[in-house]
Amino acid sequence: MTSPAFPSLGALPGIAPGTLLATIAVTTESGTLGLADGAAASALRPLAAGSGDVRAARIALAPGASVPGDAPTTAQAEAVVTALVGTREGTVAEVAVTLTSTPTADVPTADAEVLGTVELSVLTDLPAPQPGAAPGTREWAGLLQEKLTADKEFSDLIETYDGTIGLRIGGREVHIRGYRGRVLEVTSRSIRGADFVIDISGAEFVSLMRAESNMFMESAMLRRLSSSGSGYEYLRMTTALIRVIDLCRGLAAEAGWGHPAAATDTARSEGASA
Amino acid sequence: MTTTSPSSPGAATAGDGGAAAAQPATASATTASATDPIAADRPARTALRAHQLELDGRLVFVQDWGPVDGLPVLAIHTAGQSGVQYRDAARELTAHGYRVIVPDMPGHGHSEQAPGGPVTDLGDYAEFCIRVLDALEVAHPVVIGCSIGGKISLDVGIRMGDRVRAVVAMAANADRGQVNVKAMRRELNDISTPSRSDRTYWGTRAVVGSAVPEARREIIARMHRREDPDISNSDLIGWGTHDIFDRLPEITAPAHLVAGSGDLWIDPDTVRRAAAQIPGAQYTLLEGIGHYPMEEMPDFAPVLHGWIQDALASDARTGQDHGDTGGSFS
Repeated sequence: MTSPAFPSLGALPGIAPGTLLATIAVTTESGTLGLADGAAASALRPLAAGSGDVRAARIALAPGASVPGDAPTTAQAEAVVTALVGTREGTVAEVAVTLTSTPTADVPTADAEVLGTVELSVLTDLPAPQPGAAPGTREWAGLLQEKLTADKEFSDLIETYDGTIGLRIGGREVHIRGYRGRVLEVTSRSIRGADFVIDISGAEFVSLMRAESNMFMESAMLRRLSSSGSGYEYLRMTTALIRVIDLCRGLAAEAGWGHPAAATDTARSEGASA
Repeated sequence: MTTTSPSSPGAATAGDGGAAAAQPATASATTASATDPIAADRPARTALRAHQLELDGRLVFVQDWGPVDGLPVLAIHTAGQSGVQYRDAARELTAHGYRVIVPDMPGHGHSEQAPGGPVTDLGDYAEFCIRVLDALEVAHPVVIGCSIGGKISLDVGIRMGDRVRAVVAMAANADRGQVNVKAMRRELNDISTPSRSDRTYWGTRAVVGSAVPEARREIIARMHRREDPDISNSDLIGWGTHDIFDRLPEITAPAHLVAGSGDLWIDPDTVRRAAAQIPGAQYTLLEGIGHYPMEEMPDFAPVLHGWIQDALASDARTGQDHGDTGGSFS
């Protein structure tokens, strides 16, 4: 699977969602927090940021993962930018550091055990990002609404729907309110809430955007995303959700960081709905 | 047990069209960039035999391909599907001299439901297969199957013992399968299965291997959405409850268990463990292939032919009377 090239976004060339900041080896010697600290430090360096620039950090160990402090082992940390968000302070880079056991001859990288993740929000000197680089934000939701409203396929798929599809992307909710084939609103919180919410981590969303084809079903089957709310409506909206991801992929491609094929893939039915 | 390296030219030659082609957005999407390699070499016309058998007052449909004196291969389909899954593989296997017998299991394809309704016990399907073989007076077959068909083929191997010449079980392990049986029972009520055919379509696409060109992936998923959900769910209840792991050592025929690296439904390690339970069994991991090798691999017939020949050559029972081998083999 090949990756698209990245456009330059300004002071730090090539920084965009999907940018691999670092792949490093860290040791479990100092336990979970030490492991996270080592991984985070390596992630900050390419952003020209220090520990004082970290606005939020979240450490999650995978269930059953072992980080032995008494018998240290080496782990691999891969830091990827998942969003660039404009704030009053400046541009915040959201970074996901995935910790995996070190690949071996028998266990290749793709199959290495995921030990956990460290999610960081880092204040940077990057120029103000374009809305397409900030999945899940209000501005990004506006772009998605334009796509959804113009898409005849999506309109057909929600022809019998009166409800709200919820996404949570990198922790930010996006509610898509639909009625009889029309998209009424795409917002962070609809008045009556979402029928169901699909929770997609920032890293997984980037993977979905950068894959050569829409891998939503594969992600769901591999339990890389989760759902809450009405399971019935979730299942009923299966194909509509896949179309939503198609359109998100189109946005990412147009913003320069998704897979280029997604731009043409989603363009074919736009403009046919009103 | 030995582990063989992927011997599938299918994985090597199928190309990466599936990865290169854009994902269709809805069920109406098609692809123009990738072609179906299996369709490319089809003859314009192929003749085959078929049988209607009456078992327990119900009609059973069986395809019967190739020379009647060829080495018989019983081919068992996956959950909810039918013998149509072997539509290309069976035809191509005849070129290697095999007689390929492909039943539609009760309630699938052209076969009527079993008298007791949808079957939830894969052991019943194993007995059904043996009755089909008896009705057609077929002795000493090779038995192959995929998914539930793979587990059924192992069960047939247990039940028939020395009367089976070889077993090839694809995309199947032998213990209780990874399926939410409670949910499957709930979904026997149609109201509990929203967008069922869409989910079958997308789910099928997801478990076809990455080496398979988009056009092939699409036709596989299209064909699979023809299922009857009542039958499919009952099959999957059987998959989730039928456990023959401890009985695998009773298989005396040479066995070959096969997993695909792109199969999201089956952990290859569980297939490998099942193979380790069977004396002398082979295990193969097919790189880039998913849950349906016989539908995904353009070279499935020659690859299966190789597995069968290897199995027959390794048969510790060589010299025993397994009946007329018949046919000629390329």
